[in-house]
Amino acid sequence: MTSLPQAPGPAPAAADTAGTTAKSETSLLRRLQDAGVAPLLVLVVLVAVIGIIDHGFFTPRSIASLLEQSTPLALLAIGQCLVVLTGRIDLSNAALASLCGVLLAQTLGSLGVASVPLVLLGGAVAGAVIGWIHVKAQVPSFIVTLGALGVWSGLSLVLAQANSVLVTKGYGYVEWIFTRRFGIPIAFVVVLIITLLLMVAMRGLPAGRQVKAVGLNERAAAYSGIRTSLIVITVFVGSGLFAALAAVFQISQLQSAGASTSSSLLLPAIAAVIIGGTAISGGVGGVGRTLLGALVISVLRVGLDIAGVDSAIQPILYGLIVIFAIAATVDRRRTTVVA
Amino acid sequence: MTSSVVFGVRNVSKSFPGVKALKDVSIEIHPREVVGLIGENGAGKSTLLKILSGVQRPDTGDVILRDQPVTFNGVGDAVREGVAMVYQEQSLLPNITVGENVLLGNEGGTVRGGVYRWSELRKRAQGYLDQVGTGLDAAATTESLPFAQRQMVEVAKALATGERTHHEPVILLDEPTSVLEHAEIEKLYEIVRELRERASIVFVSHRMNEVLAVCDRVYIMRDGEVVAVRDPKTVAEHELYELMVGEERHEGFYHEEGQAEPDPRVRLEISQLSGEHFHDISLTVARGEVVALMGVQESGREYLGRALFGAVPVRSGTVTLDGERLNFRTPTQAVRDGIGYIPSERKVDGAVLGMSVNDNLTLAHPDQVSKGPFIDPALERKTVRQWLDRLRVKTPSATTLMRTLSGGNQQKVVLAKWLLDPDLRLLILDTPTRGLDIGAKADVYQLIRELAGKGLSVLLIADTLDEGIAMSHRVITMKDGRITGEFPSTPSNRPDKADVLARMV
Amino acid sequence: MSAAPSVTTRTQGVQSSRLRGVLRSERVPVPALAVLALICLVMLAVNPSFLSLGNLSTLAIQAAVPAVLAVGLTFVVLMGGIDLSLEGVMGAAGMTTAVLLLNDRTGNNLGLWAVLAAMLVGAGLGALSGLSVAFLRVPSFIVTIGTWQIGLGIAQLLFAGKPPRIQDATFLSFAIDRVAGLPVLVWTAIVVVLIGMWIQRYSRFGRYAMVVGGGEDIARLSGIPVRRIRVYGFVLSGLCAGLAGAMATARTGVGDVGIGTGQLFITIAGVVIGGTVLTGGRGGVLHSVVGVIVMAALANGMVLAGVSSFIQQAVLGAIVVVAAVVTMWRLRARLRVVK
Repeated sequence: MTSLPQAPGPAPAAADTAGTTAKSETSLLRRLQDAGVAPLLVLVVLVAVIGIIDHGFFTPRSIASLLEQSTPLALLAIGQCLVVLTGRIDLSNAALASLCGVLLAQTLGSLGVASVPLVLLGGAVAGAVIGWIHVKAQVPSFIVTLGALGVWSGLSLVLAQANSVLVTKGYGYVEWIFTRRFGIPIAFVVVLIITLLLMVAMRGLPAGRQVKAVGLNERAAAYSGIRTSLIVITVFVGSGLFAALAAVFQISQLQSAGASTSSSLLLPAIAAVIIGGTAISGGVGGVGRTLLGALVISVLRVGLDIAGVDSAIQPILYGLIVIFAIAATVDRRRTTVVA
Repeated sequence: MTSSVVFGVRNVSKSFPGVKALKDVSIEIHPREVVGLIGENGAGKSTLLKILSGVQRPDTGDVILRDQPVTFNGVGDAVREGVAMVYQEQSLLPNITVGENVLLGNEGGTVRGGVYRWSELRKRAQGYLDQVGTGLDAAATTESLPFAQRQMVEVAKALATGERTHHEPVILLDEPTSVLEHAEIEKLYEIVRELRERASIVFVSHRMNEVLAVCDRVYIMRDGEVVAVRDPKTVAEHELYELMVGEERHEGFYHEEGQAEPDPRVRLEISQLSGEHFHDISLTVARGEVVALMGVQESGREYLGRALFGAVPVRSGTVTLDGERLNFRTPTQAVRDGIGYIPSERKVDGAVLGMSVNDNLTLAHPDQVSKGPFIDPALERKTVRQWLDRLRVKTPSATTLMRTLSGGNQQKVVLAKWLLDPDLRLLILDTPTRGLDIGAKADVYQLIRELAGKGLSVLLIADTLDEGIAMSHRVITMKDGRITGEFPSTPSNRPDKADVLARMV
Repeated sequence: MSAAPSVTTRTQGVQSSRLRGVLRSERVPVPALAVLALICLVMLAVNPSFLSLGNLSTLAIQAAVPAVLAVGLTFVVLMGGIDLSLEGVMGAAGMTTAVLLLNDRTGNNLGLWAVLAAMLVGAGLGALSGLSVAFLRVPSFIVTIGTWQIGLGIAQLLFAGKPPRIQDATFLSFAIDRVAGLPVLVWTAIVVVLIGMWIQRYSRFGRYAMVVGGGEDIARLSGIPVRRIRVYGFVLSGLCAGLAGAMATARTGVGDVGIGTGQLFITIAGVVIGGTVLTGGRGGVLHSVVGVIVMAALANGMVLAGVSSFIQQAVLGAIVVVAAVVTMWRLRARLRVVK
């Protein structure tokens, strides 16, 4: 039987090739990325460069401040990482974080500490709904989450009416997150612990591998009996949960929430995932690396401020970083039509 | 007097790692003749076609075009030289007009300065369409055409492609009738006979009667070689069958001494199962029995295998496993009920190449290496090592990527994936040894014997007749989605290959 | 040949089957027209002034910008990609127009060449997107998120803190002066749509775009320069977005970074509703434009019905999801992988 021949080039030969990829074929960049070391190197280089420009950067206080401020971004990035590992994208997580922030700000006073788990639950449920629609209707994730972005933004605006909601009563329940013990920022420690727990879970639970299998080869995963639909919905639940968590952190940080508080974090969070070494096509990467990626982005932001660069340059930079970081690390061994 | 060779191959060989697909093959097509190519699965037909159409290049030997050796660096080269292939899996785009498809990439003067001149394009395409069939309208949308008519459009497209050069075209037809009904097949014969007036044609088919009906000469291939060439007018059908199957018998290769009597208890019972590609299937598999499912490309046997695994929908009928009625919506349920499945496309469906050997092995049954909800690393290491040793998988370590293993070793890991389940009841294997080297094949056969001996039921969609007959307790043949025959098969009494083949084609 | 009475019945028979053929064909965007009719009926009940000449004229103006956007976006979607950068490109192009025309901040006075410059800015961003997708093999949804932000960043840079007020009278008149009852802007949109339809039907690029969307492998085998076609598609989309940015700026008279806000949803929803399926190869410019008119009518209707603009955003987001689900429902299959 003949089927259409693949175009020459990256397509694998029709018959069985014992493909031991020669060392020379795997570029240095790819090997660094596979080892998960690339973001660490970038971080070290960036920190060194900034430290040279501004010696004040290396004080414990400014480092603590940096770590603290990176936490909402890091949380969004971790949630996004889970989704990206399966080859999908969540364009709505930042908008969901804004919505959760507004909701939390409005209910902290009345419902007290109970509002936090409620909002977390709400975020998880929102993620479940999106994941379910994507899986059931077999509609691409970018379009479902694009629509969701609109819905969450609209609802935030309806609730907050283009104002920032200030949290007065009940702020104490979350205020502690953005404090420091012995100079160490609690916010970052919490995020670090969460990340480590998640890493252990992904390594130790079968589901962790199944997430990567779905990202690498969903058909083979299905043919191995893996419940791919459940896995996909679960990662979207994770994304929603982390978006809600990011909202909690932002309230702690700013003591207020508005309809667009977190929305500008969408692209930086995606950039963090990519820089961290998680492939946009899925299957490769992890939450630990994503945390490193978030730090890189945060350091970058600080560095740009120190260098006096116009804030308008930032989105341009993130856009270029995302495009070229992906381009540099796209895995040509996996041949799919890219549109 | 030798007539000129308008197209052909001379002393061509082609190997893939561990497999010699073509051994010193030579065929010649003379101008204005229809040459047939027949042989069973694995005979080398598709590799030869790939070389003829430019998809692959031979390792040694030459492709000859108009008496000159020529090199095709891809399909584009072949097409530019006037060699056109009509693909079995259609190469037409459903969303554009028939005329555009016929002239795709070959619009020539009908598109001037980047602007389409529709009436010219339609007229030119209609010219080709009229040569091929009546009622084909260049202005129609391709997807509105019934399947059979689309096949005709493919032929018209090949004609248009073939006429790119000033020479007469060469047209390669790969199983062109597999989707056609009787009247349409007759029409295709007419077209081929007519095309013969101005083109040279290679006609590949599994169906003996078709090849005999239209070809001037027939090449018979077996095991990568051309074993004979015959004139259909003078050869008897059964002689062709015998040439196709040959006398080959590999001693010990199939470990036939290991074939044990199956348990009388029936494990799998299929009753009047129907789906999109198979109809009214009823068969049983006993415990410890290996049933070989034989059939050619469109027989539907692969779909039956997939349906039993829940990968393809079932319209009606019942399936019971050890008495329980099965109702599969997804493979997940099949796996939980103790069924394993090895797909024919290993790299696409069977293995996750980007993950390690270890992870692939434990993919289907991670519970077997877990304590509670968590994977137990020590247990995992031990279990994986046991299976790798038992199956003699050659890999530097369990953590190397699946991608780096040879095909045979990859397949062993895919097999082991299912064997982790102590309650495995049924294994469905879709051409499990295709593309493997001899050593790997022998290992797989031995493993199947052992497993069957311990009570595992096996449904083997066999790659070759030899394999199916030698490995099984029973051979069931399928054709056009239905069961056409059943042959018991014991080491002392194997069914005749020609008889089985006759039920398949 | 039949006698006279049967001839009439035969022609009637032929006519009705032709009608059925038209209804079922993909040439005419039937579902979108049906939805449009539905909206008109509903609005007749809710607020009949919807169908007043004045409102219809407003509707035409409101649909002009998304219609132009849809023309470019259609070709990208036909090839199986997506362009999320429209709002950013509009922002950059709009600002370019504002600073190059006679305005109260810079000394430029380029007249209508400013519009051309805006279109070139759009084309440039489109080229960046197209080259990244076609040659760097980065998926379009992520590239165009990047170029979206890059566009916004460029707009922000040009904005430089103070919004430039346009003083070029000719330019501003395009939004106000009417020719045959409709403003010049609307005529511009009509002309662009007609050009788009011509491109789709008669140009090699247009036909090949359909082919690429219908089956990239087959296209490549037939010698079609797929990558080049992809780039052209994104460049065209950028061109249209640039023009749309200039058009929108003519209406407001001020350089505004957020000139494109909200247009993405309307345009994408319109393209999808109209029948240009996200997987590519189906639909076309006419389909997309009808869909955009439906969306504009919906937005207009919501305003007339007194729906707050915040809820409108949520509704538009929901419609994007619903439209995608409905149009892709019949493509569902077991074990089909959609990411």
